[in-house]
Amino acid sequence: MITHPSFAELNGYADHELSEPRRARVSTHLAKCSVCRSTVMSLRAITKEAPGILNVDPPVGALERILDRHAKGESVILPMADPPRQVFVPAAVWRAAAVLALLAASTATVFMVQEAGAEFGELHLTPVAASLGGILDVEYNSTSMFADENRLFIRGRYRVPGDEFADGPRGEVITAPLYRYDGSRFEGTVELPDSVVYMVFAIANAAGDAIDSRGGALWEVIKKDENGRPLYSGLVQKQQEWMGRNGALALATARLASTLYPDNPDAWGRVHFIEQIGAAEANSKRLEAQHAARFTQFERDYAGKSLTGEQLAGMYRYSAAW
Amino acid sequence: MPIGMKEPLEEAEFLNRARSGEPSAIAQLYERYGDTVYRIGYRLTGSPMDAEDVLQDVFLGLPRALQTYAGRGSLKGWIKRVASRTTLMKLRMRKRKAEVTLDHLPPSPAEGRGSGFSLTDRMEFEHAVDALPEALRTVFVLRDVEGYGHSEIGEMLGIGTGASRVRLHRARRILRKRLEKSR
Repeated sequence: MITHPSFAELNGYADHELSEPRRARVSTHLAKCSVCRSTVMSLRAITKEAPGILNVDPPVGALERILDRHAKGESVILPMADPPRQVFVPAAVWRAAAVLALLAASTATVFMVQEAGAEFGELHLTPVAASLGGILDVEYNSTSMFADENRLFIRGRYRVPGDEFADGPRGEVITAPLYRYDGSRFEGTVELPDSVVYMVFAIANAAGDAIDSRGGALWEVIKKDENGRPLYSGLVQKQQEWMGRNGALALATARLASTLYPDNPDAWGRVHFIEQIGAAEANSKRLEAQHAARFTQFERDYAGKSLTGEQLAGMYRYSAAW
Repeated sequence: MPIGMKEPLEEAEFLNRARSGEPSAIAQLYERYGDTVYRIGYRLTGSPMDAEDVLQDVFLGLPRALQTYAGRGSLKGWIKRVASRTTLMKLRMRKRKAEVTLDHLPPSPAEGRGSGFSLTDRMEFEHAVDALPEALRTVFVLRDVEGYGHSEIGEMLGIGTGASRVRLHRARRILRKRLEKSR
């Protein structure tokens, strides 16, 4: 599967602002991709022509009007300083963040927040892997819920490696505007810190009183490696996100991590821990026996070897699950 | 002697006359920089009336403002920055109208400034820029039209460089799609 650079990355390439490794990677892609080449060419055409647009002359008589007012003693105090940095969070954002917190607290609450029988829209994030600089292009095809809106907000909660599970909502909240492009389609861009490995999103209007949360499931993005495999740290954070809210999803995520990273004792330790919480008694004996055999195998594989910090921590987690 | 090539002593004397508000010095400043100031006002506001307000404000305020010009960097760059700030303050004080009325349609481009872009394409481009949401238009004009860097734009708008960059990407994306649709 071909992974195209994001629009933001193509912008950076067109502006010669990419670091050398990324520039080389995009260059290699452009040599094979006419679509992305066309995008870069049109971006360069825009930036080339932009300085020449709106080259209008002042109206006739403007100088005379200025001198006339000056002669009458008029003066203006001009702004000589730049404004302070904006740290403004509209009240609606806090209301919506509170709704996200409600979503985190209780699945039942989701249905109270949602419109009865609500359909939900489609959200597309590019690049899905979020592996190319942290800027995601957002396209959202809305439902009738937002028929009267020209601007929406994508609101997200993100996680970085090391974030622990807690009883309350975790991770920072970010928000970015989406503008109506045409019909039911909204577009925007959201910038993530480079350290983000997992994130959940909902779409809301400016007032925060209409929210599309994909039926409570939220939309998610998980960071992937160059081969398209979800990063282990991303899977761990997804599991942390849903622990306490959706145990089945948390367990499924932990099992996926152990499947994709079978040589990681930390992955098996997490699976073991969640299974102990949720598995029925009969099933639990079978699972315990399997874990015991696997742990013994890890001990044999690691015997006499110098282990990394991650391996040590993983073995500790796996052993602590008993 | 061509403008910009005066001896430093003459330039200093000229600035002193401008600071004291001599009409001939104000007129000379207008001759040199009036076009630049008006275009910044027009490009950022999209309104000929607002652009003239900016023009008037800047040249009425320059005698006082020049007291703070210490000669670091070019006078043109300094005046551009003052004009940009003045326009941005104007934008903050009013809500930009969503509709483009006949009064606000961009006038025909001045003669002799074609570049290889056909007149029809240029008008479509200008309409597309004018139709951008204000926050995106502002960054696009400051970056791609006026040539400011993202850190300068961030300072002028009170936002981070990341936000400036993201808004520019959005603006270019919208422009590209609108221009492709019109072909």
